[in-house]
Amino acid sequence: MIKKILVLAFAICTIVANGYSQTKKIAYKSHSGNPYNYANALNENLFDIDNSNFGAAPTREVIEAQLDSVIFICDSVALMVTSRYCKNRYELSNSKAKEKIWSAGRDSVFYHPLFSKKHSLDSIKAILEIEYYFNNPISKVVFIGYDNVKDTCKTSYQIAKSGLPPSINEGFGKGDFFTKQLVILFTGILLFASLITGLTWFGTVKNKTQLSIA
Amino acid sequence: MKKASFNLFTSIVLLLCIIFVPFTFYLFPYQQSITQFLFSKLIKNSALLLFNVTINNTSVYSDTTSMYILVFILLSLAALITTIIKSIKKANPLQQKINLISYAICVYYLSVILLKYGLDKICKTQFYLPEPNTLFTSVGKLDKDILFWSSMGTSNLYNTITGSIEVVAAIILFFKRTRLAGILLAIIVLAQVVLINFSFDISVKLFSLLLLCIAFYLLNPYSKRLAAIIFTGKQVEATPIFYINTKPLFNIFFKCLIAGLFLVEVFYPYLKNKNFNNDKAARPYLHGAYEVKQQIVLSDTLTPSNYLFKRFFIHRNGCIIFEDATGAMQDFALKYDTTNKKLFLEDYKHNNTTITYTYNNTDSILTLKYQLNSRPITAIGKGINWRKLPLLKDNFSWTSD
Repeated sequence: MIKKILVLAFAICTIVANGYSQTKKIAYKSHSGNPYNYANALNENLFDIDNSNFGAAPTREVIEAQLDSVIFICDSVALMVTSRYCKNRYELSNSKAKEKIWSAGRDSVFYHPLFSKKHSLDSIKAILEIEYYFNNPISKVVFIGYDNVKDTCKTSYQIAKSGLPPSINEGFGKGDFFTKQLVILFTGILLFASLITGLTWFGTVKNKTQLSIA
Repeated sequence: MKKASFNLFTSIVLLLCIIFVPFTFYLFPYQQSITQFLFSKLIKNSALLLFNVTINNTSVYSDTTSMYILVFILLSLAALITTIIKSIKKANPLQQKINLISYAICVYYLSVILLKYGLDKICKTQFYLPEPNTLFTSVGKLDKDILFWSSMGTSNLYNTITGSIEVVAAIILFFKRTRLAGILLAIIVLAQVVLINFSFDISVKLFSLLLLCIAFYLLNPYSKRLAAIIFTGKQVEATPIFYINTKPLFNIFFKCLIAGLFLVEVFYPYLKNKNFNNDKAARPYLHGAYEVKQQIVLSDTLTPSNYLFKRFFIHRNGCIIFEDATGAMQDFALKYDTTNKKLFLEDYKHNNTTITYTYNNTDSILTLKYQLNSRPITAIGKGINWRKLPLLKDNFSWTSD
């Protein structure tokens, strides 16, 4: 749990990053892996080995944390709400290793240097922008209870240990199969196919008419 | 009769392989799960009963024992299906339908695979720029596959040309009028790939063989005409090869749809990441090679010959690698905490080490501080400009003197 909070509260910049294709063996050898450990790495899908297979580019590339909101509870406690952001959408079999470090949801952070209200909201945002590696723009993070007025600890506020991340995105979730872009592309393909078919049909009808006139 | 049975068997085998050999498609990434769900127990039991091999991980990856067993199962399954179909009276129409569907699927499958590999080459995501730790490993210590992969990754021209040939093969294979040329080009390309995979021990042997088999299967209907033209110079009348009795307008619509999906499958990942040259893609924080300039254990400054490690590398895929005086490397999974300046290392046995670091951007000095057997260790590393190494220079000269 401590580790989870640590990583959440600080900077999550490399959960998984894979931008190139290779075989599992080459992926393993590319970081000078000892042949002795290869079977272990393959069986447990360790390191980045899960992203490589037939020497073709991997489907999933980057999974990053998205900071949805920060809720001020008192000087010592804040609640961070995060969700998972995938540049490519799929969650394949091996996520055990990543879950150990971070998983999306609500997390309470204690005496956090940034969120314990020693700073103004603007400076919190500025520091988040520079030093933290959340995927979403900081302007879209919802801050609740952060202003320049000193507050007292709301002891009655229930601190959730974990839970499902509330989505602040409207419409298609970023992690969903059908992203907006994909839907537009599919619609485009359908329209293109219909247009070509229509033009062909129109050409056939025109030819037939000309032949019958002749 | 025997030839018809063999054709049917081949059609079924290839169809089953296309469906169940789990290639990583962007738009359909579920093949792995489907194969795992349907065949994992069968793979495990077959391996144990027929080959006396115990398989711990039944996931089908390129050239694993599981994949060989899976192909064996698919061959057996195809033989069984062929026997059943052959035993049915008036099986001819069904047989023809299977052959036609299999041929069409093979054409599209080979086309999209060639397109994908071709674009991967052009965008340098297949043969990528070697990582700093590979660049600093002696050639003699590298295996053939990683050496070949890394060598290919150093040449943009080679990747662009070979990738473009694959893209052209995919395109002309897709259209009926140019299909024969596409098949021939695909055979040349894939034969070279198979040769490379076998010669350099690259573990995509079975899959590349499958692709080559598909290409030969596609050539089969043309083979008589081709042999007649090449060896006798006579022209043989063309026989209909791929003809499904559907309305032509539906055919056009279907083809446009398939072509569109293929383009999305291949181009979309690059469009989404807005990166068409993997060599220039952003590297993670601190990525690179570092030469150790000073090492302190407790309060003793070590002499270079006694350094615990002489270089360390931060790999693109979240690893840190330490090279000792003998050139031996040890890799760890790496996570960053940039706020508290900490690196979290994990080895293959899940042992964790935390390193505190400081990095000076102006002189690229990376200082690592950690505890080893309760002794504080400090290592000061200086960044090496690995992109300036001779291997990565784009030198070209017409003359040798």
